[in-house]
Amino acid sequence: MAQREGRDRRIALVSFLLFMGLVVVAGKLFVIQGLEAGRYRKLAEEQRDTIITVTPRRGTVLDREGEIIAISEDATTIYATPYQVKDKPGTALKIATVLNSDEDEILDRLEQPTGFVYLMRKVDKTVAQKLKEEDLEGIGYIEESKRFYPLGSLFSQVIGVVDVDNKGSSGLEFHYEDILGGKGGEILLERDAAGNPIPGSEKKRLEAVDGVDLRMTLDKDIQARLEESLESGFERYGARAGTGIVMDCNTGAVLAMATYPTFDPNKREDLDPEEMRSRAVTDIYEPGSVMKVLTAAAALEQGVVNSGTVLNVPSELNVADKVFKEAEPMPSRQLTFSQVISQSSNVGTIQVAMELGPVQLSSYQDLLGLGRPTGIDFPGEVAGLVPPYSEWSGTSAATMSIGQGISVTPMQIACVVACIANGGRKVAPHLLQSKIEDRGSVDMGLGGLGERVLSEATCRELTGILEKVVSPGNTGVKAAVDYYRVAGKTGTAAKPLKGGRGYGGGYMATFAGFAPAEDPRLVCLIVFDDPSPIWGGDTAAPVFSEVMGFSLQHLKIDPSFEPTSAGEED
Amino acid sequence: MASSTPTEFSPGLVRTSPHRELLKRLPLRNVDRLLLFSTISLAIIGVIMVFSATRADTPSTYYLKRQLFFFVIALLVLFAGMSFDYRKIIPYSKIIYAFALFLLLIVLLFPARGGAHRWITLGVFDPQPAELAKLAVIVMLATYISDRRMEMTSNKEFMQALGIALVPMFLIFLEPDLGMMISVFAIAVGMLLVGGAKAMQMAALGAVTLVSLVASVQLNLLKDYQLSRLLTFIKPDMDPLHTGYNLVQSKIAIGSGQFIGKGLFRGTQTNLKFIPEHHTDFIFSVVGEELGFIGAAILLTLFAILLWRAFKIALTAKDAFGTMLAVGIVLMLFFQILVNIGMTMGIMPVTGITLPFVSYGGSSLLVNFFCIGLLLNIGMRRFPQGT
Repeated sequence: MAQREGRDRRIALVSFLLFMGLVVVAGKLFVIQGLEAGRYRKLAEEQRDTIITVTPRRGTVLDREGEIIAISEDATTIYATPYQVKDKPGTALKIATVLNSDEDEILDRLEQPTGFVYLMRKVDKTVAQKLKEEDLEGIGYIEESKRFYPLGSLFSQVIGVVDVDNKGSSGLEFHYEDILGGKGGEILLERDAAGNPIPGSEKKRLEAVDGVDLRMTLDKDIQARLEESLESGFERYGARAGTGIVMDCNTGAVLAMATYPTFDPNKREDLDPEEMRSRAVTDIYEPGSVMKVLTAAAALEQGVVNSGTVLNVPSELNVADKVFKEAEPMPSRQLTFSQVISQSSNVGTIQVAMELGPVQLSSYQDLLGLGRPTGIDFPGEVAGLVPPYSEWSGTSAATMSIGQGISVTPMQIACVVACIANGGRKVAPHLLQSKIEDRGSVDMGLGGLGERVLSEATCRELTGILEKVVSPGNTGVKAAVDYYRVAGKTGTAAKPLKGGRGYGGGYMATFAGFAPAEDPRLVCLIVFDDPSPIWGGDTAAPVFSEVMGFSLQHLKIDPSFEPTSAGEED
Repeated sequence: MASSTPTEFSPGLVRTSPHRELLKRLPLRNVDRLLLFSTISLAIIGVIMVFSATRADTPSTYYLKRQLFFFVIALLVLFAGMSFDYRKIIPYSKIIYAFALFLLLIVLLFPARGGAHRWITLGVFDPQPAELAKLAVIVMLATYISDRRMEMTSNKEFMQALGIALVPMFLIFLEPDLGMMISVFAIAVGMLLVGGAKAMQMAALGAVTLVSLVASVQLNLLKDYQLSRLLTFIKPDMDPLHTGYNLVQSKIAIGSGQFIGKGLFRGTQTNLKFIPEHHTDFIFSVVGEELGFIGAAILLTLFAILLWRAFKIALTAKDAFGTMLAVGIVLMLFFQILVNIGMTMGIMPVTGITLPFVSYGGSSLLVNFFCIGLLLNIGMRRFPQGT
């Protein structure tokens, strides 16, 4: 009997342990289904309900004549639900063959312990269709749109690029993201573990708002002429880079803006950030003699000189602790102020600047917008480096009057020149012309003429002086254009050494001008980085002539009555 | 349960007179109806849940038909397990045991599947000798312990009894099938405990087990995945087996079922195939999702009833062999139940152990029903004179 009792006790012990096991299991069940049930239900819904983003159609970008610069095309993104893919190596091989991609990389993605993985984004629709016909298990497709730039490298830096999510990442694509991008819609779908939407399970829907089409002030033909001329100049002069702007001097509408070397925004895989900058607004440089235009404008406006004022110009001039000379040695001579500018005399310009005084020079720099962004509708614009008057030394006025010790963007120079061209009013450079909406196009009202900063008389007189620059025997003769009167100014400036004082290692060669002189319409600026020969009159000026000549004709602008540059051919 | 008359579950057998004679001699009046009820209920729930889990497959009734077929066969097997006096097994226990060991040796010669020699490939169906070995160990231990009237006084007897389990365990380890080896060990430990092992002996066994476990890790006796499986158990967050995905999906399914469940056939996680192996290893997740806490609790209650009745039978058996056989069977069933359900909720490692009576699978259903048949057999013959 004692034996039986001991046995019963032991059976009771074992059954107690097993019952306890059941109790533990039941307890855990209660925790999962009771206490933590809400969390698991949410997880289940999250897993099952997929918010499918309906990618909005990105707005088209057109030039002023309706030529397409950027447009969106349909493309297919391929993804996988890895655990649904049974034969991973076989599937990887098939996909890699169709997509012409790396098999190991695809296999690697298929082996990730997750429910969703991208295999390749934005594949051409016809290629994706081939893969769809293979009917692979666990592979899914999302329709997306892909940006296409039909003009290839034309406008490349200006238009910019979009990232893989179709969001603008540079240039106008970035600047007008809010308008072009539209708003993504949402479809809430239940999907099975294979990632396939379950038909009829749509729960909520947010309508996608397509992006708005934009018409730009840019002109495809002028842009093409500018880029081709910059390219041939780049080759001919062995320059590091060439930058150019063509702008309407009465409205600030930018017709063309380019930098060479350029790139093809359709080839996303080999983008070089160095080539993606729109140097006309993002890069600063010391402009050299082009700055004499500003000095002259200030001196004329202040009545310090007029075009006929005769100056005794010595071969060199001491200002504070520094000796200034001409670019090439000159004897002492007598020059009219007009000749000082047309022959680009450093000494003569400095004499006038010193008579004008540093205070006035500084205030005109400020008035004409140097040291401040122009406000162009483009990302990455910089302000330039103009030392405030309080930091000027004894030589500052002298050096700045001839365009040294002061850094500006090409766009800022173009705006100064445009102001003189239009008779003394500031311009607001801009690229956007209008939004094209269903109801019609909406003029965005950018640009137009701003406040008056110079008198018309000053501008007329200065225009006359600048016309002389392109007349035979002067620095800018190669900028002349057949049948049109051109006014402009050359500039050749040694590049300052990086991070220190002094100059060396190349020159920046500029020509900035406008035409027709009697009724100015267009401003054009050309600048070459480190060309050979170094002179703006020999490198930038002939390219200016090509671009300006083409632009005037393209826009059907009446020729001038007195072609001053008829004998320009040599 | 008036339905426990033989005409209800095997009407064909009543017609021929030899069987009629057999039935007359069976003490069916003493059958444990609650045990029978809970077993059949579990199996019916299993058939329904297997259908729910596989309904999306094509053809949608493939698994349902097969499971239903096995269920009918299993009822016959259950009856077969009751039809003879269980004590007639005793003289055959050594033969059964030797045959099981023989098969465990033979199986090592068969080609490996997934790196393990677990199956004797016959073509029609591929039995696992380890399944038989489990039963053989139960029978052999029950015989050995009952021979000593459930009082193993000497250490020698304890060692011999332990040896009965250790030999097949070693052969199973060679296959290798760690999960099966551990279940044989668990059954043996339980039976030794009930069979009168001393506290000191059990403590020594525990110490030796621990030391050999540590040693096998140190000496790299375990395969990588076996080590991983142990690690998964100890630290599920590490997820060395990448079973975490299954486990998370299982927990999401069960948890999202909440109190009343999503309704039969309406388990989104199940139907959308987020749960892998949902009709076999993870059938409990399907129950949890579709029938909620209520359904899962009913299932656990049915298992609890089964456990309770089985122990009742062990306690009231007329002899020591019957007691030990019942204890062995109940240990075997409950080891599987706890490991399987625990696995679906992340408190046990993910192994290939299915849920008795509920999971899809013919052979396990037949074996488990046979075991229940044996339990009923022991229970109805609890009175010394039969009836």
